[in-house]
Amino acid sequence: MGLLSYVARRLALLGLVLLGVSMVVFFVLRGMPGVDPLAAYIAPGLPMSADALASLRRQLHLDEPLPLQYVYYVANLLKGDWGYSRTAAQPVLDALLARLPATVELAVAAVLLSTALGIPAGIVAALRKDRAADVAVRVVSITGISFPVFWLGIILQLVFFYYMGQLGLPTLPSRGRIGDTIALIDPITPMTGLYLVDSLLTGKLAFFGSALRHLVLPSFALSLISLAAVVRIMRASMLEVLRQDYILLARSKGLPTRTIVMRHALRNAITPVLTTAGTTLGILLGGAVVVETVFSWPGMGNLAAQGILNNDSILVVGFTLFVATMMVVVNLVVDLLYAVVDPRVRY
Amino acid sequence: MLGQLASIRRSTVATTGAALFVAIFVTGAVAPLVIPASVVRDVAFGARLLPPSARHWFGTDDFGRDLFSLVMLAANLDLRVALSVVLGALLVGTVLGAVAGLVNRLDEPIMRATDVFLSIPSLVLAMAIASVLGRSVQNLAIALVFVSWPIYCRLMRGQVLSEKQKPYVKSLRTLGVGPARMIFLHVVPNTLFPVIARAPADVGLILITMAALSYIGFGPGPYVPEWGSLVAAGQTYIFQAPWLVVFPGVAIFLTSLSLNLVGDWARDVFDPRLRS
Repeated sequence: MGLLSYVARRLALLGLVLLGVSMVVFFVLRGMPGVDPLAAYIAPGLPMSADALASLRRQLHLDEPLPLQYVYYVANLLKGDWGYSRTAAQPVLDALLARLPATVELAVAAVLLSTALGIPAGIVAALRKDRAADVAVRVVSITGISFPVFWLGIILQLVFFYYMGQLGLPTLPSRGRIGDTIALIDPITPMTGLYLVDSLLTGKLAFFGSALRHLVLPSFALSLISLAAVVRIMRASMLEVLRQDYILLARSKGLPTRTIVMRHALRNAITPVLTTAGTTLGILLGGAVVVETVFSWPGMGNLAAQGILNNDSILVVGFTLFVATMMVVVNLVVDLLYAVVDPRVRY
Repeated sequence: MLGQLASIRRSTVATTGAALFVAIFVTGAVAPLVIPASVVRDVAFGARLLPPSARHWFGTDDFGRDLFSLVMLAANLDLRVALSVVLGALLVGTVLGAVAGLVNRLDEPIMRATDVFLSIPSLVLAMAIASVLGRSVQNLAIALVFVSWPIYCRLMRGQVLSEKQKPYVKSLRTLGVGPARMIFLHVVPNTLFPVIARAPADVGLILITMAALSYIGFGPGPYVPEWGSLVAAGQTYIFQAPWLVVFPGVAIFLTSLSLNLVGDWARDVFDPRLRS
C-alpha cells in the first residue's frame, strides 16, 4: 500500500473517532439519567422564572429529540461555539485556547523529562535483566507509579521552596509560570505563548531563566506519571529485540555490545515508546489538571479544576472534548510520521 | 493453576505487598467500629494544628481533630470506592467483552465503542461525568466505573477469541456439548484469569485517581474523612503543619504500593508471553 492511501485511510479513521468522541461527550452532557441538562447552563442559586427557564430551554434546543439535539450540538462545535464558561467569564473555546500554551509547555517538558530518564533506564534494565540494576529500575518505577502526584507536588514545594529557603540554600519557585517582578518590569511580547520559546526569540534571558526555574518542579512531578510506563515499555521492547536473529548475527560477527545496542537494537526497540507518545500525552494532560492545581500553573487543567468547584460543567465537558481531540490528533501525527520513517507500518 | 498460585511464595516482594494490603484493608474495615464518630464531628479549636505527639500520633488538623483517627477512618471510604469501582468495571467489561467475542453481530459495535472510550483520557472523562452528575463520592465512583470498563472489555474479547480456536473446544463440540454449557463452563473460566490479573494494579490506579479527583474538588467535604480531601485541606497549612499533608499522602502511597507489588507479580504469572 502506498503512503498516500495510508494517509487517506487514517484521516477517514480520524473523522470516525472524533465523531465517536463527540457522541460520548454529548451523551455525558445531555443523556445522564436523572440530570436535567438545562442545569449546566444556569448559575446555581440564580433565581429564574419558569417562563425564562422554558425559553432558555427552547433557545438551547433542549426541547428537541436527542438525535436532533446532537446535530445542533455538533454544528455548534464546528462553528467554534462550545458554550459559555461562567468560571472564565468568556466562551469555552477562547478560554481553553488562551491557556493552551501554558499546558503545552508543561506537558512537553514532562514528556522530554520522562523519555530522557525512562529510555536509558529501560535499556539498562533490559541489558542487566534480573540483575541488581534491573531490580533497582523496577523497584523505582513501581514506587514511582504508586506516588499520588498531587501529594508529591506539595512535598516538592515543601522541600525545594520552603526547607531549602529555611536553610539559606537556593530555592525553586513553587507557584505560577514566571516571577512577578520580571513579568512586570521586563515583559515579553507573546508570540507562541510558550514562555521559553518567546523569551529566547526576543533575547530576554532573564525572563527565560525565570520561566525555566518555574517549570522545574511541576514538570518533574508530571513526568513521574509517564516515567514508569516509558521504562516498562522500553525494557520489554528491548528484551524482545535482543532475542531477534539479526542481533545474534551481530553478536557472532564480534561487534561490541555497545554498537549492537545503540546502532542495531535501539532503532527497532524504541518504536513502541514513540508510538505510545499520543496515549502518554493524554495521560499527562489528565495529570496536568492535578499538577497545575498544585502549582497554580495558569493552564487549561487549572481552569477546568476551577470549573469543577463552580459546577461549571459546560467548561469541564468542553475541556474533556478538547483534550480528547488533541490526543486523537497527536496519535495520528505520530503514526503518520512513523509511516514515513518506517515503511513496514503502512500495512 | 495451583503451581502458578504457589509462585507467590517464591516472590517475597509480592508477599510483602499482599500482607501490607491486608493490614490496610483490615484497618479500613475495623476503623469505623473502633474509632468513635465524635472524633470527626467534635471541633476543638484549643487543640488546632498540634504537631505529632504521644497523644496525637499524626498531630491534629485545623479543626483540632486527631489526624491519626481521620487517616484510619479514611481507609474505609477510599478502599470501598476503589474496590467497588474495579469490581463494577470488571463486571461490565468482561460481560461486554465476552459478548463481543462470542456474538459476531455485536462484535463491531461493542469494540468501536470501546475504542472511542479508550481514546479519551480516563481521568479527564471521569471529571466530565462526575461534574455533570454533581459533586459527590457516589457520582465520582459511577464516573470511574464508566471510564474503567473498556480495557477489560478489550482484554476479555481477545481472550475469548483465542480460546474459541483451541482444539479442546472443537473436541467438546464433537462430544455434543451445547453452546451455553460450552461458554459458561469451559470458555469463560479459562479466559478470566488473565483479565482478573490486571485487577490489583487497577485498584491501586483507581485509588490514586479517586484521591486526585477528590483533591481537585470532588471530595466529600470535611466531615467525611477521605485521603485526597485530607491532603487538600492540609495544603493550606503546608509550611505551618506539614504533617497534615504528609500522613494522608503516605497512606495513599503505601496502599497503592502494596497493590502495585501484588499486581506486578500477578501480571508476570498470568502474562502468557512470559509464561513460556
